[in-house]
Amino acid sequence: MAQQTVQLQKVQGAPRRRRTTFRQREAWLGWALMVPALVVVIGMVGYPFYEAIRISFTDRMIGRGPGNWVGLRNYIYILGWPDFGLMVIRTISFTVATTILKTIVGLILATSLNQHFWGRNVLRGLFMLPWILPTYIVVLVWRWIFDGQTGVLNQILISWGILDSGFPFLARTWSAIGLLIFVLTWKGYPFYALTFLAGMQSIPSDLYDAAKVDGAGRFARFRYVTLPGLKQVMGVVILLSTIWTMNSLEIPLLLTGGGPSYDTEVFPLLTYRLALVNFRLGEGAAVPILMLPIIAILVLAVASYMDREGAES
Amino acid sequence: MATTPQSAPAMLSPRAASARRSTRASLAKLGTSALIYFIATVVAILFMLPFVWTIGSSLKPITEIFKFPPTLWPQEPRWQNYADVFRIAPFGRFILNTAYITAVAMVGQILSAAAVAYGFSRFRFPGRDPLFFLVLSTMMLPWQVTIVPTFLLFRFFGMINTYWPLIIPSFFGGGAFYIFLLRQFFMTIPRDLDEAAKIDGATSVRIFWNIILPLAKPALATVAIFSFIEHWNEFIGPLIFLNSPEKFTVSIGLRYFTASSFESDEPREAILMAASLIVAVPPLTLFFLAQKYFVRGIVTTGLKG
Repeated sequence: MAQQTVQLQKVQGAPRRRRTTFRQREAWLGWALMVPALVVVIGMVGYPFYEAIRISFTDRMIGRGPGNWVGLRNYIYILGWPDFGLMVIRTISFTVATTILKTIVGLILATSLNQHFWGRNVLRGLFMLPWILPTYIVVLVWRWIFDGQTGVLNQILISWGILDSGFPFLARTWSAIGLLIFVLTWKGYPFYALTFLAGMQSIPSDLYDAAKVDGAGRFARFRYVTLPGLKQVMGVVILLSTIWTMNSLEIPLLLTGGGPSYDTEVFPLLTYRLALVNFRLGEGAAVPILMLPIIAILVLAVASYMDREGAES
Repeated sequence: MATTPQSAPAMLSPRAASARRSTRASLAKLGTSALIYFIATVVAILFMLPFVWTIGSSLKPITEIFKFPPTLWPQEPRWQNYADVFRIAPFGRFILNTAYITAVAMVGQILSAAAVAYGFSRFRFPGRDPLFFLVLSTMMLPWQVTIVPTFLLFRFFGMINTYWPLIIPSFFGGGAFYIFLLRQFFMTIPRDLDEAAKIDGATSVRIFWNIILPLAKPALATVAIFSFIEHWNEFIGPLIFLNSPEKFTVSIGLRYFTASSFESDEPREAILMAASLIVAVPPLTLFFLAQKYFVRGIVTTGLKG
């Protein structure tokens, strides 16, 4: 009897143990594959993030050793600065404006490029140009077009008799803001158009046929078939690009450099100026940390949205 | 008694009515597509203007650059501008440097992102889902937060003014965005394939290499293009990490044609435009060659509706 039980246990236990080891091996391999991701999370993000917080409490400057602990002085200095609030409002409003514009342009373009017509593929490629070309170059060309004296736009406006003399578009607050939003939109819409286009192609054509049978016109089909079908893509793209736009340094730096007189200074520019131009690392590190609550809300929204979407598919 | 407008068509034969209706419909259709063409053309011209302008300017002699009224296309194209790009700056060197960094980083990024994505899509292990969430979050953390410590970290390892800071991150998953794209794609590959291979005695590594990767070509092509464009055009990284000119990449090398223009009296705008076009050729070629894969790759990855 006892022997039998032991044997039975053995028989039952053997496969279970093998299954456990298999599962363990699986888990081990899974973790092994995660090594690169872990290195990034810990080494390239986790540690620098911790360091950034630490440095923001010091008066560290580039080339002057580790600096001294100054407590909240950097934060008080930045928050006490009358322009800081304005900078936050500016950053948010530029981001919102460009995101809305990019969504509209992206939707129109994706809808048009989703039709069947001659030369569609060439046009699709051409419309992606702003995204493919180096930011440095396209911003330079736009600067050149908008230049106050030698700019093409001014020369055209003068030759048509609209202006008497060159208008310094980049040296006036409102035109500089407008141009910054314009160039940000122009550089960013291809990502929207491309992903929206891809999303539209995955909408089953039966839905459109059914809508047509029900007498839905072009606009109704767009409103009741395309838009709902694109909801998820749009969610991911808009949230991602909001964060990317908010963090983007290149276009503001190269186009306006924050000018005229800091009227287009957004938070990446401020960080860049404090940390890498003025070498004041402590203050430079404090700025993005102050912006973090806003970004954190967005990040959590996107990550959980993408996570959810990922779980569904 | 006058016929009401509604009753007028009723007097026609049904066939004529339907013919007229279809003519009207096709006319409307023609009108709509004409309108679409028109809008598309106007928008296209507006959006393409900078490019046409760039090409035209790159061929202008100095005397014509700031001519008034401006010309879109030079009267006498000056091809010499393109040769001058390489005469004024070691631009050939910059191109080689950039090609090297881009190639190494791209390969690293694709391989590591695919491996991590494979882990996330095919294995069960404790802490997987929180880790995935964490990886997704890194994509969105502002680089401004981490750039200073990252700079100090690379400086501690003596890697300033080397290519390591531009390459190493790519080998460790690099873009969380790519990991996400590939994971979503791998999820759509039926698990039955894995199971069949497993029964035939294939290891997980073999399944990854011989089944998953070949099936994921469109998604890999998408990641490759994204990654190529990202590295080829990268500006901030080289700006921060590189300081000796012989190590410059094209994006910061272009400053040779602007920043130093005050040193000589001749304006270099035309040459700058020529250099810009040279820089733009590789990503453009790649995009047009891979366009077919590209849209398909996006359709089949996580960004589907």
